[in-house]
Amino acid sequence: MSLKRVKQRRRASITSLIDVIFLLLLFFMLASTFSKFSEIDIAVASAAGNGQSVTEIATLRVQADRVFCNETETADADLTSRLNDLLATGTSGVKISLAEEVSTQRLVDVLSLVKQVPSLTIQIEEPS
Amino acid sequence: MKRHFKATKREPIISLINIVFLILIFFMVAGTLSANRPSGIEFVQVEGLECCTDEEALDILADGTLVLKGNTLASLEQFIAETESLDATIRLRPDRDYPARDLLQRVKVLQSAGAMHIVVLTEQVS
Repeated sequence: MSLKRVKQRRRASITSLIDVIFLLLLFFMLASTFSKFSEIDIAVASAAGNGQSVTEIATLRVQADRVFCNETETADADLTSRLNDLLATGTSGVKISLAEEVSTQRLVDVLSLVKQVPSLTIQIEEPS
Repeated sequence: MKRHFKATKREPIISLINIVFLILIFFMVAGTLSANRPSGIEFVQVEGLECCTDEEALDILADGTLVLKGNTLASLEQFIAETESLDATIRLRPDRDYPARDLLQRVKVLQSAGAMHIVVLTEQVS
């Protein structure tokens, strides 16, 4: 008789254990996230030029669906190679100006493309 | 017959616990607890940037509302007043649909208040 009682107690504790584990599991499933964040520098330069000639600073005009690099329309996919070409011909930086409708996502997309070209200084023009 | 029933019932419960434990440990190890994120914000998504940074930042919702650690701020001036030192990196986490020009205006305000280093936080997608 005494043996049977011990067995019954053990069984009950397993069930409550499962309850607690399920609770913990639910909590962690609902409360945890898997998104990781990275950061990208952003600094705004004043609209006035700082004395560098046009050949040294390329201009990027960013619109919602296209980019003008030195007033030539450039596809996003070609932007990096175009900037690399410019870098080879003496350009040391880019100045980015934004159209009205550009979203933050678009700005960061273009910025991360430009950052793929090393040693280019990036200026973002102050919106007028 | 009764004993047989009990014996077969107990085993699947134990293997169930094993599996549930596994899932529990997976979520405990792999997930990080999300710190009070404002609802309705859709982060800027980027591929291939250097991972990963601390996720504490000033959130900017798509309509321009500023949220810091779950509290809505009235204005950027309030944020500047509450921030102890602007020399440290200022971290912004804007909604992806927030107009970039408005973001630049705010960055400009922070810069003229003395912030030296401003970064935008983006969600890493792989």
